[in-house]
Amino acid sequence: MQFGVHLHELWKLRRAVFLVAVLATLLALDSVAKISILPPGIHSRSLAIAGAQVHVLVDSPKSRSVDFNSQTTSTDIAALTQRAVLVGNVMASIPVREYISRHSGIPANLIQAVAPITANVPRVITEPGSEKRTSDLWASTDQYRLDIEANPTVPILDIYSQAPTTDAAVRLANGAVAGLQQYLRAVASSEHLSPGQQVNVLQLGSAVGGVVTGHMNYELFLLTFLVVLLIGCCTVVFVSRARRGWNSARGAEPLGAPFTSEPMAIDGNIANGNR
Amino acid sequence: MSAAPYKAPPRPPSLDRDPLLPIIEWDADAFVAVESYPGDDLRVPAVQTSPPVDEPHAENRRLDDWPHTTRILPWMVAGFMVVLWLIPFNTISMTFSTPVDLKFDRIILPFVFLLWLLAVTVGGRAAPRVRVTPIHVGVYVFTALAFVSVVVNGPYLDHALLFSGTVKKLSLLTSYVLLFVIVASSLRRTELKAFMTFTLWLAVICGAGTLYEYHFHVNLFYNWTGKILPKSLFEVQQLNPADSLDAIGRYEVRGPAQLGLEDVAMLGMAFPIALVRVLHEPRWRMRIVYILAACVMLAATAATFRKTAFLIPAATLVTIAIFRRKEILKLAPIALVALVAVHALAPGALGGVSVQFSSSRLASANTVDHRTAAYDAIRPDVFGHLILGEGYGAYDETQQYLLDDEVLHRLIEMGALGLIAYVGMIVTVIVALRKVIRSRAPDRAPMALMCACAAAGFLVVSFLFDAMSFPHVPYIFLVFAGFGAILLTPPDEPTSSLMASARTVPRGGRGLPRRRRTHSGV
Repeated sequence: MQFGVHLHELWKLRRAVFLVAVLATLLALDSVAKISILPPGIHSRSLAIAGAQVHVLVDSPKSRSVDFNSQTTSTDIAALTQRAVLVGNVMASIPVREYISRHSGIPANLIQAVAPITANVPRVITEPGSEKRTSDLWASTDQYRLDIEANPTVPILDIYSQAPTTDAAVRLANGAVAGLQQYLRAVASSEHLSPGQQVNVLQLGSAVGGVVTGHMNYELFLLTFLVVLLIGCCTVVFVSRARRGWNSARGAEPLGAPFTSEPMAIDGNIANGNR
Repeated sequence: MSAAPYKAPPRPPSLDRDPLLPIIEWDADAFVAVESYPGDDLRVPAVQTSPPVDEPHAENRRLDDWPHTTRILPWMVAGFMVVLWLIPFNTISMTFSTPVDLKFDRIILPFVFLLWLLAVTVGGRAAPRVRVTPIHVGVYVFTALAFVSVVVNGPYLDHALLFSGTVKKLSLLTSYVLLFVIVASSLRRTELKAFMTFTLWLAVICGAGTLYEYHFHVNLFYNWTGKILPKSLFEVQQLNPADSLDAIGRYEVRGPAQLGLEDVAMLGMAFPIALVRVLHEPRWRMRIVYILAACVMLAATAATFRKTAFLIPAATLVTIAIFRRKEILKLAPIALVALVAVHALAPGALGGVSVQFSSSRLASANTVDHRTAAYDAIRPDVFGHLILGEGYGAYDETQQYLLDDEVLHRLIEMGALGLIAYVGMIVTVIVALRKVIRSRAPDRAPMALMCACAAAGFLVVSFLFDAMSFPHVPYIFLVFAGFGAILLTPPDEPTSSLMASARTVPRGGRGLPRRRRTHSGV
């Protein structure tokens, strides 16, 4: 019932409430989109961020993962796991980024790569993207990022790429593996190593990607609208009551009477002491 | 109750002229004491108030008070309090996926809220009365600032992919505030004594369970909750013994909470109920019962091996000392008995806590170091958004620096204004109740003192850990704040709708309803 009373009070002030609603809509729109007057248009403020991932098995020339007769021990797996960390660090190096650039078509100076960290660090540090604050994305909208994570127990590298579009993110992830393979072949060739002596970097399927964010955030729009509307309505009611109180006090004040801080009389009740 | 038919007292002449006038001019501070019970301390005469209480009607209402009532809302509140005190609800989740992160409290509270909303809509004498007291204003201002901080930082939070996290935190804050509004509007002043007693015994059960965990390393709250709730619907997190030692080797005794600190904060806020009752109870037998209750709670807090176990009771004693300087001396001999009792209940716990206060331990403890270092660590975040912060719930401790300090959280997330609002919300409870406490009205002053002590305890724990992130603590604080708000209202106030109408009516009389209303309410 009290709610109805307040609604009725707002209804009496409907013009001001309408203006508050318009203001709330504009502010809510402004929170999620850029509004331009000349030329007129609304463009989403959300950054287009796409991501892709691909996984790589680091193996010996004669696969120890597949061949049961190769007498593979846990020590061999641990050694391969360590080698995977090494290969991951190589992938993040500047020379390999040149190779990645050639395969992905993305300029090398735009590619940022983060090497794997695995030894004795909390799990949260090894999660993708946690080496920097997520708010740093704000400052790196045009960047192409590669997060290379080494699995601590098996010789597998998880490669996460980030780019403005899905296509670019997928190209970057695939290009990272292809670039690494080409770089390792080039090094082996310069060292005159036979294929049987080279580390085998096997891509486990093609990269898969999608848009991380990019659409308008309707939750933010709604929250902004409701909060502004609520605060606006409270302000309107407050101003209206203050104005009415002022007018009523001014109307009840006798002409030429000195100012007094005593409460105004209604039907003479308070003046007569009948509280 | 008298068998004679009730005859309404003559209406004051002023009411015949304008029924709304006494409500418009009603002064809450005039209400000091109107009722007394056998055994109450009557040294301070009760001040006669205006408007006078309709005695037969008040008697009828008292007979309808919780727990002797069929009104559902007080029972729902009592049920929710059982959940708050005895169930580790924040570790209970649904076995199936839901659009929002549903914990056990957020499954129950919507039902309580819907019932409350229904009762408000239907109206009548039993309907909840939505009041506005200084405590309400404190809670509302803090909540409004939390929302505003998110809206102002909305685009930044959206770009940083932090917005969904803040929305979850806002929904949790809304749950806290809803409970406060429900408690403050659904319960009657005459029911508070029973609710305080109920809270005390829930806290004693909580303390006894914590002591059991201390002795046998078995958490009954987690075990029994897992057995009681249907496994097909709810999943209760089971405690891993490997996680039971903290960074400095203390065994994690946590009771129904997620952390030992949370358990200490819960018990610390209920501790004043026992202590204040020891001061005010005239019967020795009951006084001994309350001393035992206080000992159980004190022993349980010490059993957690947290330094906070000493700090919250100290805050309680300081608050009592401020308002009851002479009476607190009565507690001195009792304190000696309590020390022995606490040592018997939790052997080794007192020594375990007190040794942590030695200067060498304090200087080298990780739990102290990382908290003090946080004050420097957060400077860039604070000065980056000084006025309104980064947005309520935007600071992610798992990605950034672990603060363990609610005050610093508020400073980062809500800026200087938010911190002022947060501290103001807590301090308002104490300041608003100080008149009632000083009035020494036997039916209200002790309970007001309990609420003020609980607020002081909550203020202390806000400096010691991120209290708002562990729901037991803010829920219980806001229940006490709700009790305090009830104590600020008269015993038989006019219904909310009539008050609302009164507020909207200008003094000149313009806008009065065409049909005259009666004083008996809606």
